[in-house]
Amino acid sequence: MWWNDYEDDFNDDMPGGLSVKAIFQRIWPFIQPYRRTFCFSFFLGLLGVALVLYQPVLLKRIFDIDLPSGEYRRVLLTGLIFLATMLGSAVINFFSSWLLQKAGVHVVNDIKVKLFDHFLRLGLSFLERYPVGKLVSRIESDTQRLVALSSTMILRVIMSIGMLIGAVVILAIIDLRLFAIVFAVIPILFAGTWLMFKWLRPYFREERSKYSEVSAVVAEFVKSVGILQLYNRGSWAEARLKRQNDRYVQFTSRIGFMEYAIFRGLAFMEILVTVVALWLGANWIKAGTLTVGTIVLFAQYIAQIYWPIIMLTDQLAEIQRAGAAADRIFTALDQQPQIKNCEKTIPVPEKISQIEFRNLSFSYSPGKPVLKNVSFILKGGETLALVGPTGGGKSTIVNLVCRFYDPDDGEILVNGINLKNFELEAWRKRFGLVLQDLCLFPASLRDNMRLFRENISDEQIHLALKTAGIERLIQNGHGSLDKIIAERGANLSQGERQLLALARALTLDPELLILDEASSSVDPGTEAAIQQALQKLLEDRTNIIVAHRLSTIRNASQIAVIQNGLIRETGTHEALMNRNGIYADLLETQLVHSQGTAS
Amino acid sequence: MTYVLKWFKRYWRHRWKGMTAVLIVTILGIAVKTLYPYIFKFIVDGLAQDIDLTNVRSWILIILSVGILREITQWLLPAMRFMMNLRIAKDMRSEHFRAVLKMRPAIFQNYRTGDLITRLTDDIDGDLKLSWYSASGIMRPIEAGLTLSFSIILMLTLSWKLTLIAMSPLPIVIWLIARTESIQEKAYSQRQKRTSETVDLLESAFSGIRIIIGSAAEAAQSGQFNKTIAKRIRSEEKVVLIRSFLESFGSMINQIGLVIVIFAGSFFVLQGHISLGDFYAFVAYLGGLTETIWTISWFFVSTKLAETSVYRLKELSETQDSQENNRDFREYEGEEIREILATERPATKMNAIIAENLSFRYQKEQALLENINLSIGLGKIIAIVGPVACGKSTLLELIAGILEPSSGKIRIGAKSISRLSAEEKARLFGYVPQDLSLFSGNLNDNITLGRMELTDELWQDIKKAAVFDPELIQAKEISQGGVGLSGGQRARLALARAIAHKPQILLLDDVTSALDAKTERLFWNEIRRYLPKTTIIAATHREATAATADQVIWLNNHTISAIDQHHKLLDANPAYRRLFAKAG
Repeated sequence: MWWNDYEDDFNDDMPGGLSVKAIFQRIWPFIQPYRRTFCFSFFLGLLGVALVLYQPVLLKRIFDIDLPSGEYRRVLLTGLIFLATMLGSAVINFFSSWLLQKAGVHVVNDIKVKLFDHFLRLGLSFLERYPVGKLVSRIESDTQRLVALSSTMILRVIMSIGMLIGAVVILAIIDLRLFAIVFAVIPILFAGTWLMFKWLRPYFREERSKYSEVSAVVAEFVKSVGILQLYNRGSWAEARLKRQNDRYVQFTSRIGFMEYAIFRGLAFMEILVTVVALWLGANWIKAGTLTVGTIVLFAQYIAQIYWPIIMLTDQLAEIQRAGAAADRIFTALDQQPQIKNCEKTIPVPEKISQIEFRNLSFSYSPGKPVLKNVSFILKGGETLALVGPTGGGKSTIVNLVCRFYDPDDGEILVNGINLKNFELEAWRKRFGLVLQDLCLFPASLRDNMRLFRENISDEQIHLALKTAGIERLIQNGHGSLDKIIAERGANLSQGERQLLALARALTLDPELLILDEASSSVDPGTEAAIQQALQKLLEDRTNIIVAHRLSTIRNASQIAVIQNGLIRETGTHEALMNRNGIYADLLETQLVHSQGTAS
Repeated sequence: MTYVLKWFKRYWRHRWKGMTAVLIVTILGIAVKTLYPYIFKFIVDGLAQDIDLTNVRSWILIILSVGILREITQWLLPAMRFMMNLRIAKDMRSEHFRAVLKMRPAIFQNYRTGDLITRLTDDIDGDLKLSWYSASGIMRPIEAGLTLSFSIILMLTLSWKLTLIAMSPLPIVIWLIARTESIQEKAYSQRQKRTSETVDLLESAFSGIRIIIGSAAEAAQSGQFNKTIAKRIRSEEKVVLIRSFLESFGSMINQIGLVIVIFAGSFFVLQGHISLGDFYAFVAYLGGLTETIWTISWFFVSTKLAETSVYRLKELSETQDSQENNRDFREYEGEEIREILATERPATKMNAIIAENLSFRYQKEQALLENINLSIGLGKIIAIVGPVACGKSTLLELIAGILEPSSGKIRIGAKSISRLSAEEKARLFGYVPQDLSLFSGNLNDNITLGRMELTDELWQDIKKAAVFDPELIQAKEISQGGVGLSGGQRARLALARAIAHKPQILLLDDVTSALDAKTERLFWNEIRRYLPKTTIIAATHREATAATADQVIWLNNHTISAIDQHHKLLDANPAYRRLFAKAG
């Protein structure tokens, strides 16, 4: 499976995966829109091959007819034809390769776009299983491997075959004896390359696995630099890397020597055939049944006959390698979204008057329940604060309300209707979302606010910024909505980042607010600003909050204490304080440090 | 370009024997290869005139032997280059791996682990990256240059006039290469830029995927991606256009030489200036030169491509250089650890570890620890207790010298921790972090990290002290991260590593949480017996550990609330009491 774990990133170019046929079957739908271009450029490619094949024939003519005739005019004419074939093949090759590669660029980028859209559709339950780097490499690196496959590689294969057949046929027409000599060796050559391919393949695999061991050692130690530094054991790690490195280098060099030996061994056939042809040809020329021009033509063709066969194996190996990438791409495209619209969706009610969790259980991985039989009711306009220790299940409730995941058991009811009956997009448009991880993008302030949705106006953004109290970001010479926010909001203060995330949730003035409060604390001034913004934000809305601020919790209409996947206590702040149970404890030990000036 | 070549120089110098061998084989190989058409000339001549079969046959046999030699050198050449690629890659990796291992934590924080790994693997071994460049990349233009010169020399011996005529387009070709180089480079770097944009967008999209999906903004994000891809397609199309153009017409210009040879050469043949065989040889040489020229041109582009990776690796070694300059502890090396603790300072036993006004924060972020003042006596057991994320682990990392304080200082005995050499620290400390950092290999390697021999006796001692399962054997193999052991055993393995060298200060980050209450008590007894004089500092949530400790540091709100014995804190501090009440 392509998603197994981070480490298998290094096995990414493992040969294997889909067979050549299967790759083309899968890639075909992407090529199809450009099939005319493909066919046309293949046609041009073959035309170019024909012209190139014609050149030795012209040389033969110069040697056999033009020069012996002693008439320079004849040579001039043949030379001009030669020039024409050269110019012609250059122009044809240019168009053939340009058109095809251009189409290849489109094919690959179409795959990228499709893959990206598909990933977005697969939703969080899929995406959160993999590190970001892995997802990126699926869309970027793997598809890049298909560039050659979907363009030049096929052309080269076709041209190689064309060249081979053309040369053999012309040779057969001109002299059957020379043809026989060449032809006798072709099966050996094919068999040899095929065997080499088969025989070396396991070694290539082994080579990849040796390399992945090297990468694994690098990864393992880079991740644990701290402990190595502490014990001053860098040299030990270096020695281990050296050991793996040596093994890899030794093995791979040996493969290299073997591979090239076979390669050149096959190439030696060319010399052997040439020598035989010359040996016999000398007799035939003496006997007057063969011309010098034909020998020249033969010498020119011989390379064009053998190299395509040898190159073909090379291309096959490349295709195999691309096959592994194709395999991962198409496996990913085969994934089905787990969260999707039901067959008959119903509109989300105009006004949300109640959200109910009924006997709800959920686990991210089987056998490890995160929420166990949770039930609660939140009335429209009220605020529910979820509190409890880390890992207790608070954020999971948020995930389920957003319908990032579906519950294993039980249901979420909105105005008595199961959440699953709504169209996903329509439901998600009804709430504003603020997350712990503030998710700021390296883009303009405007795009950060509207998340690239172009139907959100600047006025809406201005209003939201004002309500959240950070219109100063675009005032007093601080720039406009075009101001570029650095990656992860690095050019903003922690407080500004939090306020920006709040403002973003406000842009569409949502009816329901889902808020996972940031637990990192800020200076007292900013804290006051955030609290002010929060108050405004929560007014006249239905709110579900994973709360860390005492002020937020205090003002909540309902507090649910979640621990180990269970709702342990519910009630208002006062009621729970009086009870002096887990909530009271929590407030002392877990929350005190992050309440800032709230208390 | 000189920058890249300069950077590679030391690797070539280090592998000068191998590189010289490759160079010799290259010269030999090219000589044999270019000789081939030259000998063929004699056969053509032999066949064109009165055919002397014995003479022709001897030339054919020479062709055969030259052919064999050609195949042997053509076999060795790429294989040797490939081998050198691998060896130099190994050198590069080792060198930069060492740099990473020596990176200070503050610098380390600036890199993502994945990025570091990529630099040490893909930047070196990727397609046409540094490994390829180091021998294959650099030898190709040399090979091409040699082919060009040898061919010209041999052609000159056949007919200097025809050679001059045939080579006349060469200056134009060189001019063209020089002209196109910048165009190619621009197109390639533009494409590189667009590629990075795509990757950046993907990274930010997937990092912020929750908010995108949660705000139903997928379509907008797709639109954004489409825009980026459209820009990228344009830049890629440009590269494709330039490349196709150069490949097709570039080789054509060079083939003009061939046409000139056909025109001029046959005229020379008719005039009797050269033989038919000479003519053939010229045709063969000119045909072979096409690729040569473009290999040289491609070299400029590939150098440019290598440059990015060179920068990325150089960055790693440079951080190390600047760091070594900053080191001031070298003079202290060799000083005995014991002396550090047994200082002449008064009240030694009371201040084995001293922290003064210690604060720590990551860059501009909120302080994780503030104004910490501590004095820990020699041989004591200290527990650090506090709510989640109050800075317990940070404090341990500061004491171990893994993190550097933002302000204030830590002294071990009389000496500031920053003045301890790496070797001193290694012998002084034992540390079990929360992330246990276990490596693939056997238990023995994980414990010793190659520091010492793990004798049977020591193994038995450690096994007992770390309350290991008695059935565990030293040779047991585990995978990376300790896969193959249970959670509790992993923690004990990390502990075994921390105590194997009998450290004077042992730092434990929540190690006992994986032990049951009974084992926990046993553990404290055993560890004390094994390390009777060691100062032990343990961050913990467990009451048994806090109760065992001579003193408890009650950390709250990123600073020390109180330091006292467990039972006294229980009496006096309700928040402290609640912490354990809850856990219990």
